[in-house]
Amino acid sequence: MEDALLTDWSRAQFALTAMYHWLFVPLTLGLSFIIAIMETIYVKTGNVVWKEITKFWMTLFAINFAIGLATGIIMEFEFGTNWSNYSWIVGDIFGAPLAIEGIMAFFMESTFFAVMFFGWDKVSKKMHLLSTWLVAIGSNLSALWILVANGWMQNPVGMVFNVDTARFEMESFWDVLFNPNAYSKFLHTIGSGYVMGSLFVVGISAWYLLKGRDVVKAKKSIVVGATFGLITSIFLIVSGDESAHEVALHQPTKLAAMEGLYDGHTRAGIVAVGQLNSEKEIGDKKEPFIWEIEIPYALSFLGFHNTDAFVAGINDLVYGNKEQGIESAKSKIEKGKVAIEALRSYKEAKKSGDIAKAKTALETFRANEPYFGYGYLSDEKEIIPPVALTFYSFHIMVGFGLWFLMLFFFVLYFAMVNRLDGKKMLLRLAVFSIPLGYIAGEAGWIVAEVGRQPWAIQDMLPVGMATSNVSVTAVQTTFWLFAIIFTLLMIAEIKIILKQIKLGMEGH
Amino acid sequence: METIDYGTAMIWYSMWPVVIFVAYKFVRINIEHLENNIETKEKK
Repeated sequence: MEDALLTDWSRAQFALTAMYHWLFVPLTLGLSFIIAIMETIYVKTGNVVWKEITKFWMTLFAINFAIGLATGIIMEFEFGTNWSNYSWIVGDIFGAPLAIEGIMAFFMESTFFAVMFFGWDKVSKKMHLLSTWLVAIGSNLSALWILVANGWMQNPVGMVFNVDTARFEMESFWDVLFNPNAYSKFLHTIGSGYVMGSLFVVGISAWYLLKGRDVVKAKKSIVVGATFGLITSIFLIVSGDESAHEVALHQPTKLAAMEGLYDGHTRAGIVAVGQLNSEKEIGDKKEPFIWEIEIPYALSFLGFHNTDAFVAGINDLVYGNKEQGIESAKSKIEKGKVAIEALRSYKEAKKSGDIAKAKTALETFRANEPYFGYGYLSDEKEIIPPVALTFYSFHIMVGFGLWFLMLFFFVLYFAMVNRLDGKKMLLRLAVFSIPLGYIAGEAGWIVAEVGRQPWAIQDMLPVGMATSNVSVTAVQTTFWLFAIIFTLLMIAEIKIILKQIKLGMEGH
Repeated sequence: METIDYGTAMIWYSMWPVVIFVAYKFVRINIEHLENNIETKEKK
């Protein structure tokens, strides 16, 4: 009971930190490139209006960058304070990309950030432009290494389990870097950051147009934002498709939860919109939806790029499906327990010098190693993540993503035909879409992280085995402390940014 | 253990700079169009 409580509070604290962190990061990822493009136009054309536009958006970027740092650093510390078992077991692999992120990417963006923000009159135009691009590239490289680490947790590759130390150790750095889950996650995540940055620029520029202030600069900004947003929205769909394909291959329980699919079948459709039946339980005969609108074949195609493909449902994954060659969770748990017992037996045999027994135990362990993590689960239904949260988050993310694509298209179209000023409703929608971008981003992370429960490392390490040996009270206290600090930081950021926006684009 | 296809991964990773470059090019085209529009409007 105490252990479960500790796991839940540790999980809640990490979720809190990650969700607050993700309020600041996407803007850094997207706005940095938008600013770099604006400054490039200034350097290429020599038009000082573009310098003023760049400096305005750069001020907003700087506020966000500075406050975002705090949450990111705390998150990395939590691997040591709250997840020390996790850090011990997989630190050899997980630590490498995090170290590269700190040494290479974070130092790069931080160093050139100073030149970019304070160096307007101190370095040449070209040097300044280079610094701005390096801040953008550095912040995105920072995301790359974090997402390589996260992708490895979703699909652990390039590693070997050392039975003598009971730790996972890296066997191939390149496998970790080129892991399909790493690149699909990286591209989809930075894509969402680009869309968020674009929404921010389009929304704030729309507000200026509605107010009739800084009209020319706002129009120029809105065209940059909408164009960047439109291109990157298409990129987001392509990377999202690849991401879903990887989920289908490596995390079938997540895919089933994303779609509320209980009984798997071939030619599976996607539920475009629907309401889950809250009384539905795993294994019962109740309908999973109260109502739904389905797009036929789409889930089979999304998951396996084949409209005839079989998509496993929750019941298939829990109880097994012999016809489709899917093993039951119960069988996996039994094999996992055999692996754990074999590891214990191996260690005892080694200690007592019984080489033959150690060899047999090792062979048994290796035969059951892929199920190692399952041995720590007690109930077969534990392999399924919270369905409702994963399902609704996925649909919110996709729905808003499609809305943003349409928004960018119409804003850009009316800007190009010089009729944007009269489209008050569209401009208002653009302003109100800024928070929707944050909601969509958070929903995406909920799908990625809640959807992979109960695993810290997919199939290898359940979250309950990854926590530190600390008191629940300590985690609860720091949870509330962080909640207060992060909320104050967020309020501070919003206030400072709103103040800057109200001051206008003049004078930058 | 899954075999990782490095070639496919590199193609996917290389999409990142390509997208930024394409976005930049489209921004330049659209901005040129917008500035011409503003100029024409001012002349009128």
